[in-house]
Amino acid sequence: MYSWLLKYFRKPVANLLIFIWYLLLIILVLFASDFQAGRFHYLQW
Amino acid sequence: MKLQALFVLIVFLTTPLIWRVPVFWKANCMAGITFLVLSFIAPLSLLLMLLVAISQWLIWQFDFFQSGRIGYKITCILPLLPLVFYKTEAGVQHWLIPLGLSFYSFRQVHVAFEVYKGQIQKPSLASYFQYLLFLPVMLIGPIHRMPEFKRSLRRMKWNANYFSEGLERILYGFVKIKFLGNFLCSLEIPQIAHQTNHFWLRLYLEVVAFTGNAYFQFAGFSDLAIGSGLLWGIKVMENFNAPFMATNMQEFWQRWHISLSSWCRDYVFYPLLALGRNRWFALICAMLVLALWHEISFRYIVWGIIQGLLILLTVTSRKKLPALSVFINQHPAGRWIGRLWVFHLFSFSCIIIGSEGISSLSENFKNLFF
Repeated sequence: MYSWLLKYFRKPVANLLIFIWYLLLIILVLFASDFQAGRFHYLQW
Repeated sequence: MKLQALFVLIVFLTTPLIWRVPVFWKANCMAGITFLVLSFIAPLSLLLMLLVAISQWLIWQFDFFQSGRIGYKITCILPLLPLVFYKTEAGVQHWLIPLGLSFYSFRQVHVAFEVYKGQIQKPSLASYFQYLLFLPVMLIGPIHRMPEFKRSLRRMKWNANYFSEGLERILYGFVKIKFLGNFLCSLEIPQIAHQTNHFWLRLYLEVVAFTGNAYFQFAGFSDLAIGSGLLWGIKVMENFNAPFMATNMQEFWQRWHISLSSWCRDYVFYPLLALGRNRWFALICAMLVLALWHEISFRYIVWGIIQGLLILLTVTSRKKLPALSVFINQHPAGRWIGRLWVFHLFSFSCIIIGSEGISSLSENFKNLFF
């Protein structure tokens, strides 16, 4: 992914984009892991 | 999921150790870590694997059955015996299936078959154990091959790109399993399906969610295995290559669970083709083995035969209707029609797997189509 971004963007931009991308993925995993027995535990939804 | 996550954590924590030990000891170190983990988590599985591996090695080494090549044939069949025993319904009802049995049995058959064909030399006990005791692929595959593993071992040297690629693959694996599989396909889509008033639409969404979940779970676990392998510096073969981008069922099976379908091609399809010279018989048998590998039951037999027939239909239509084949494979609109066709064919064939018996199966199809 990072090498792909480097093809189209300068290094600082690619660094920022990859950071946002990984952060988004980690949030998605944590968000999905929080959902148990029909409700979000830590988010209390 | 928890066990595979634990395996990933163990691989991650032991990565500095693997890269600190001398080159000669790296493979033994990886096998040693796997041995220790399995002896705590699944001692029966470990014992079974080692017993079969040692028996195979003894037959290769001392050539107990000196009449012809019968010994080699026994080494090919030996790993399948515990697999058949545990996968039959009688076995499943009384005992838990040993951890990773389906995967390491097929790896053992692969090595035995290649030795039998003379493609690889009889492995030493140490190198055989190094190949079998590789933690990242122990639980949910892929069924990686010994020559590639040994090549990867020989070329093993620290590469930061491998390490970062491995971490990225592990993250993608968790997203596929946790978000796309467990959350989206197992919870959200079925919830939307239950809210709809249209019975047909509800069943359709459930079928799509079932297929999506199966894909994301399996592809996610493969990503975890490939990513963990990369942390240790070993390249494990890809198991999925965007299967739903396939435009026909033949291509689909070259992209879905590649390690298993290529195993069935190499060790069932080609040998049967060489023996009987009947392509269709060999194909149906290969798809049957592929299906029965999942579970030895009537529904998987039906599913396997249907998959074989769908491939047969693809090949026949390519010969009988060349214009349609060209449209599906070359025209952009045709390619998307082909992809939708493949997705729906596979999804609806999965209803067979999801049905408990013939009555449940006929009820599901009746609800969906009539």
